[in-house]
Amino acid sequence: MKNYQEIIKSVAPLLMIVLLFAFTAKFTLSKVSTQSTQIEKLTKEKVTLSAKVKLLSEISDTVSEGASAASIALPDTNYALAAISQLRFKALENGLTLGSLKAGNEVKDTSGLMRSDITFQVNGPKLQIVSFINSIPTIAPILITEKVKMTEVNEVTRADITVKSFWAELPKALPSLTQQLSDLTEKELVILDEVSALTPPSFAVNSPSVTGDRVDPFNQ
Amino acid sequence: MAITLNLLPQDQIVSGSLGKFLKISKSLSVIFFAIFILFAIGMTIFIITNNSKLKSLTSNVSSLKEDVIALEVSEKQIFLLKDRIKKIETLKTIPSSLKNLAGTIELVNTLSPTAKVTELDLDSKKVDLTVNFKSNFEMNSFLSTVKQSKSFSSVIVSSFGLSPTTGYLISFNLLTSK
Repeated sequence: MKNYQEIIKSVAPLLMIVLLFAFTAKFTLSKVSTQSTQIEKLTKEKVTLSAKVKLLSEISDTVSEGASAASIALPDTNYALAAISQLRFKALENGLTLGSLKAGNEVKDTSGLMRSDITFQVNGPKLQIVSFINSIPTIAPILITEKVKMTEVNEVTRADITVKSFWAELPKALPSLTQQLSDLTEKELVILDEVSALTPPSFAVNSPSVTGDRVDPFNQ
Repeated sequence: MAITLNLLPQDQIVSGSLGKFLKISKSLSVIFFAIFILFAIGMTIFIITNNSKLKSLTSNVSSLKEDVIALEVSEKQIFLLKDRIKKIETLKTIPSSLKNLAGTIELVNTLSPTAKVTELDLDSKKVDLTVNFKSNFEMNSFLSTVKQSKSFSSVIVSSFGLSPTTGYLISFNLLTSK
């Protein structure tokens, strides 16, 4: 009996300390792990946001102008009327007039973009018609020449041409605040240069909206 | 000579291996307690430091988020621009018939002034061309030019006509080189 009491007196504090140690270790380590995860997440966010703020602060007028030019080159709605106006303008430049103009239904192209086919007829000297057709890629909105049918009667060439006019919806929402935003790549800059060189329609102004809800900033 | 004194009552003395075990147990209790205290103090300091770091980071991130919101116009512009460029890139992969037109015009330019293209129908994959030749020589010369052309992978003569008044009327199907 005396021995048992002695054993309990000696071992009980040791056991209590071990239990207390285990409990404290479990609690503190769990807390430290949670904190470390949060710190890691916040550090990443801080790096991303700092880079984003730096990029957005340094953004040049080129981006603003580029956004406008790109929106004209590939609009967000059917721009067939603007395309027809541009085609007329180019035809006039080549001393030609367009006839039998028709804009087709809006369809979804295999590329995923929306499309409307424009067909028209042009009469005149062959060289001028070819020059006109070759000038189509220089206009905005971007048109893809799909079909050309030329017939020549008595030195006068008649061309029936089909071009594809495209558009694509604007993004529905901005990415989350903490999502990384990179600057324009070399490849993107090359495309931007090409797009900026296109002749815009005289009445087309399509700049991104500057106010509004972050959830759907382009669809107001 | 040293004298060992033990004032405990005889019935409370634990001797032998049990006594050693109890002694070690007591020592371990003291050591573990000391380690526990050190661990607890260390962890408390670590947690407090982390907490302060977290507060500072949260404040920094909130401030940066506000900065990004303030620059939302620029963000919209670059985001819109990237979206349009990506889609224009897709647009550029859509085949156009202009390449075939250039190849055909190159061929047609080699025709003699008396030969006439009566019909030309082309898209991005093929060209249907009908030419009126006044003489056999013109026709042979054009055929050899077509054969040498690198713009087209195959040439098929789809129809051949001969009229004493207008000469040869030949239709070609030209398939685009990939």
